[in-house]
Amino acid sequence: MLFKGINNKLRPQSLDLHQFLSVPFYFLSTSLTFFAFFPNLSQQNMIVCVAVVGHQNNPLYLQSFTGSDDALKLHHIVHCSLDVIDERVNNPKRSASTLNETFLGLLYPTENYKVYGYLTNTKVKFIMVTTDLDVKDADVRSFFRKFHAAYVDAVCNPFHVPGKKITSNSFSERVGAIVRSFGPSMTL
Amino acid sequence: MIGVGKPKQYGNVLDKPLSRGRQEVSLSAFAFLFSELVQYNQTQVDNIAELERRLEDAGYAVGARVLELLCHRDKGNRRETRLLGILSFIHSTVWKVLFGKVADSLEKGTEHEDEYMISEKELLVNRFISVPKDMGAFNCGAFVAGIVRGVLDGAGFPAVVTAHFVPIEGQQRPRTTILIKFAEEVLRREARLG
Repeated sequence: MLFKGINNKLRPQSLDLHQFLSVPFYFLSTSLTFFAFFPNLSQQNMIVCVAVVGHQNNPLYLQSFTGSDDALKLHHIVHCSLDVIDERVNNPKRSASTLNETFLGLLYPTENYKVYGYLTNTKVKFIMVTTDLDVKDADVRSFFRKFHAAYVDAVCNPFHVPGKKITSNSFSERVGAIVRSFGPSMTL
Repeated sequence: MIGVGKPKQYGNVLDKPLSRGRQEVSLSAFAFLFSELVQYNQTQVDNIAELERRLEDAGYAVGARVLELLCHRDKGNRRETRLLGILSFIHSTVWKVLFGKVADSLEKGTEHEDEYMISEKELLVNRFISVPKDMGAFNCGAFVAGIVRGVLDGAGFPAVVTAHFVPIEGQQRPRTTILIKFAEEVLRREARLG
């Protein structure tokens, strides 16, 4: 497994990674071979995981849309992508015009997944992991726009404590509906 | 709800969607609600400073949510990183959404580098409130100060925000000024950005 963990000390040794995840080695390898030997699965426009991370990198919402086998692996991917976001935001090499864009684009590709990031005005980050290999930029942008709308509605809930996890059921349902409608036929 | 609806004529007011449209709330309804808020907090506290703090905390929650809402609705893809940018955002956009008009003026303090003032002839929340003499310098504009603090905190500009009455000669009621004092790190970052 090749993870480009920028700030964490993991190096591409699959054995260490599995020990770190404390998941039995054989279990993870079987799920990996599943993805390797069934390539037509990745042809579908499947979002496998979405996450909302607060401005102190605390997780606010984490939802995976595949079977629960590799949920832990997806959480780990989300965690690694936070490093990439921090590097992009704090790196002054970007010119001033693009410094305050919200859509961060492709963060980094792993062997099966692509990870996209989006940064709101309040330093809240949205992360989306997809298995689609040729997803269009416009699709991802519109996905994040809808996701941002659902997030704002969830935050405006007077019973939501800012900084705590989002526990609203309607938010989960809306996110599920947005994820299901993700694909090249999305308008708006 | 943030919806993108086509404009339609609704016969029954209950059928209208809660989209942004001509979002108007009755002023008297808000005035009653705000007066209840002040009265309720007054029964819970012992002194004026605590009352002011509670009003400000109530406003802080409003400010945080308003920032999220407005950034998604109006701002598109831009994120404010500059001091003047976020101040003019508050002064025009936030004020327009909350009170229906832009604030009267935005000034930079002369004595200290980190002080800015938004002043208003009369704050909407204070319109039907007269503070009794024995409450000293208490200003219900602390609610609005809390809103501004919530917006600034959410956008990454920690600040101390207070509301003051500034007596103007020739006018019976004093003007209200929201004083914003930014934290050290904001000024350092602003100097670094050039």
